[in-house]
Amino acid sequence: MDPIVVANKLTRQVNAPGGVLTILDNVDFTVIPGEAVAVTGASGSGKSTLLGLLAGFDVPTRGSVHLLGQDLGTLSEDAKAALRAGNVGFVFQSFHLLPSLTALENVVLALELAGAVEAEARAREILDEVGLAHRLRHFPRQLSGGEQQRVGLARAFAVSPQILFADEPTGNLEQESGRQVADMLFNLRRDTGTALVLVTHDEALATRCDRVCRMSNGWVAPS
Amino acid sequence: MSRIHWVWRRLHRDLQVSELRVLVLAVAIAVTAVTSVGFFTDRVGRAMTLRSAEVMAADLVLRSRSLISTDYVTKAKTLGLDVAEVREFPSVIVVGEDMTLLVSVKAASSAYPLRGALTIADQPEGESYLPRSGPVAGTAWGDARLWAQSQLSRGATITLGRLDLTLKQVIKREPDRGQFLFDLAAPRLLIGLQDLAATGLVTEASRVRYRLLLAGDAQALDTYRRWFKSQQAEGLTEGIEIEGVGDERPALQSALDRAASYLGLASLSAVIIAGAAIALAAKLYARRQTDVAAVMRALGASQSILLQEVLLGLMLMACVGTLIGLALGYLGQGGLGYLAGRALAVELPSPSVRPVLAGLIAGLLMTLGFGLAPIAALRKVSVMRLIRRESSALTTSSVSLTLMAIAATTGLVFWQARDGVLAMWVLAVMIVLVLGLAGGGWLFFAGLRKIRFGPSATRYVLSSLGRRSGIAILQLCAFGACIMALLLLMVIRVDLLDSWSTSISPQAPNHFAINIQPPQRVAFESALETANLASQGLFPMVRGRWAKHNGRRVDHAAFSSPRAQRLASREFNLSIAEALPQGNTITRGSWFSPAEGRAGEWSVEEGLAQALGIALGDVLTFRIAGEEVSGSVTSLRRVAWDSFQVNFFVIASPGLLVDRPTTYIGSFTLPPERGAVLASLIRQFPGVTVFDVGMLMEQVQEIIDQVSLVVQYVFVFTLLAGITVLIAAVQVGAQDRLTEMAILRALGAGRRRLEWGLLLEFLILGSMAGLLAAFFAVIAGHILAREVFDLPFQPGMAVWLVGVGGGTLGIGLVGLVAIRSVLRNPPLTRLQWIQN
Repeated sequence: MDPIVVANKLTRQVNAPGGVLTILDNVDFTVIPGEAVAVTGASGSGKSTLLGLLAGFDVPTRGSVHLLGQDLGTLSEDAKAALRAGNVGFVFQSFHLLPSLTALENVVLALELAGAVEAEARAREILDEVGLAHRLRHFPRQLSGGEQQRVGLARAFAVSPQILFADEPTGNLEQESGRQVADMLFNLRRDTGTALVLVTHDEALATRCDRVCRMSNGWVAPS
Repeated sequence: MSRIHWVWRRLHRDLQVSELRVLVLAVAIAVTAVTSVGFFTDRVGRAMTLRSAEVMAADLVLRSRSLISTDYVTKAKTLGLDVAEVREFPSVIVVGEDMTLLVSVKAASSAYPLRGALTIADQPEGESYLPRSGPVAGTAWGDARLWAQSQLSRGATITLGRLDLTLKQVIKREPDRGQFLFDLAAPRLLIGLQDLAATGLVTEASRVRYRLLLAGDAQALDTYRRWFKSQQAEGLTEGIEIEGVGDERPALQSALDRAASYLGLASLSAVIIAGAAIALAAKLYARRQTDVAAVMRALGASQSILLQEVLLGLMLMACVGTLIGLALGYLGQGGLGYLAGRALAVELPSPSVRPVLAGLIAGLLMTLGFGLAPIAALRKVSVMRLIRRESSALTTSSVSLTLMAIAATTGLVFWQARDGVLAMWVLAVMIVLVLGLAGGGWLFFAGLRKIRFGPSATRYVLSSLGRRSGIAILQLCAFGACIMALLLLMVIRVDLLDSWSTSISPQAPNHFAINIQPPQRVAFESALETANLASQGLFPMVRGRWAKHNGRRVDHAAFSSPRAQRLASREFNLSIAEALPQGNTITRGSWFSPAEGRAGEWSVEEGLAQALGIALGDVLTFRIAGEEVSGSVTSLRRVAWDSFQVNFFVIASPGLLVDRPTTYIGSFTLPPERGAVLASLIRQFPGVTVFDVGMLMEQVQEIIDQVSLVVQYVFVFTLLAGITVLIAAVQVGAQDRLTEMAILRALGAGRRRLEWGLLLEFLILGSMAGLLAAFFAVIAGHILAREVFDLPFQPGMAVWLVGVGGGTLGIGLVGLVAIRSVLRNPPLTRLQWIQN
């Protein structure tokens, strides 16, 4: 089976007051379809940077990333956005719902950007799956943190992505809400067969993945 | 869901956010300023056109030296036009046994005047009123001079030719007086047209000027004019000239042009300040929308989708603001029209649709010009910020922002100022201002960073300002531009308008004297001096017709504009001068060289040169008393016509007009109560023609009054726009300040201490902005006064006091009120907000 994500000798450096700072150093990383991979490590170990590079949010200093068979280094920003639309889902630690749109509209927007038909029906369906059928018309500020993240999950899975990138999805939630969100994330993933790259501090959450990569000082320790 | 629907829903909800409200408010204020001033100037402009018609006593006039055929009357009546006939000629009346008096007779039909009002009184000092009709058969009316010079009383008999007439009323105001300035030597005698034949004075050889006055609706007048042109083309209108509204009197035209410049500049200040508010609000809105844009990019939205969305949003906001502005502008001009109508006792015509279009264009252009760059930067947002907040804050290219703003401003300036010179100066002043404010601010804040003394709170504020110099300079520019525009408007409103007003006030000559023969020159000057009448001296004048242009005979019919045709065909009053006359400015070329042996030179007024296609270096030939005199044009001059001094379209270099028939012309100021002095002057110099231009001066004064009123009105808009800028500029800094304040409060800093810190920060910004703004306002005032309005300018201390004092207090207060609410909130609220 062809890998869905392949990172080859990925290096990311930034200019800092003390000179060049290497955040990622020659990292190799692969995810195959349907696989769930957790990336753990201490703060500053390069987890978020790796996630950003894999999703095409950032550009590596050296090395390459192939996402869904496409070399991201050869794609323009718009081409990367087009590749993401409908194929790649995201769940963020800070939820990042659009504050001026209702829960339903947030999900509909993602579906419309992916070119989905019957967007609203599909959005209602997935919001129902995450237990928010009664919160469709609520704005993000009217929802609890756990509910906001469930809308985030609905938005991510609504387009049936081939891969989902999740950045500390339970990091901003108290324990019970965090557990519920994690359960929903893994259930939806299992049902849809979506590959998952999960960045987390939470060891318990990491162990629910097929594989765990531990990062330390820009290196990925073999799992 | 359609794109517009999406965008609208989001914007509708985003309107809860203050910066969008500021953006809409700023667009609304600018559009209100543009449309209300546009509506008003449109109405005043049309009122002035009507007023011009008043000065002709008609909408259209046919003039001839011989009797105008009845065909022209019949045609006018067929088209439903009102018709009046007027004949004028110089004559002599016999008063009593042996006294004779030279008079200018006007015989008018009963419908005269068709436009404007003829007012009369029963006695020279009596109350004036509107007559029901003209003089009845056997009676005559005379102007105040006639009554004074003849020393007659009401009911006295005067003899005109073979007819005895009873002198009945005093003419107080005659709308078309001054049509033939050089024929107004004598006092006016008005009789009914029905009595003219009985005088026996009009024969084939008489020097009678015939006028047929026409008035009516615009369409009928147009039709008549076309019919006349077709008659003219067939050569059937021999000797008849047609003249419509839009005459060639330069004093009135000059006043109207200057008025348009003042108003254009005034409304522009509101527009540009509102533009600054739009730019700031858009920047804030863009900053708030950064995460939204990043999420959309993460979800797969292309840059073009994002750009379309922000453009659509911006345009929707512009439309909302513009619609509000149009509505307010319409209401505003209604109030202004009412006030102006009351103040000036004129009825303004109803508003036209054109200003609506102007408001619409202004609203959209401003929003795009000032708001697009910050908002369009959203399309380049880095998605990485969704994962790592500290990475890649949204940066608007200051180059693109500046270029867009300059483009929009340039467009607006050229459009609103209606004057290339004014527009160029305004742009130059603005560029210098922005560079000066930014440069001054940079130096000042760099200095602040080095401050290492004072109480900790003060030290913290100063160094904090120094560290955030980017935002602080932006605020300083916004505050400074705002204060400067208000100060400049104050300068224009108070100082320049005063200068303009005094340029024609009591010192301005209200009487002109012509036909002064060379031997009378010295005696006339000393007579003026003895009578204590202020005069600028006497100027030589030679009358000549323009015969050749660069050797080719001048064909006045070849000019396309009627004004050019009239100018080319009339007799010019050429003067001779060694030095450039007072109130004249050389705009091209150079004044006559004193060197001997040079060929003849002409200096031509720039407006005339433009109308007749005369350029520097052209050779002009004038026919003077049957001989041709040629010279080349070595300079073009700008003339302050509305100063009412003696001015000439064409001046010859000394030596060019030697031995040509010369008379002298002069002007002097005669207070109305000293009419007897005039009578004695006329008695002393019977051949000299004296006429007064009081009515023309009244009209110019009216224009100044209207301009003053509108400028004050625009000032209010500029002030409102200024307040929105303050709010927007405070908001720009507030995001950073709020976070800092919340952290400081969490660390235990007291509210009073923080308030003092904030107050100090805004006081510093305000005083610095006020100081720089006052400096630039004074410079700009000097430039505008000298280069554009051609007026002297003496700025008072008020500019400095209002600039620094107003800036410090105003900005201090607005800043404090805007941020104070934050200090009431518990720090946790803000810190949680930052966290999320």
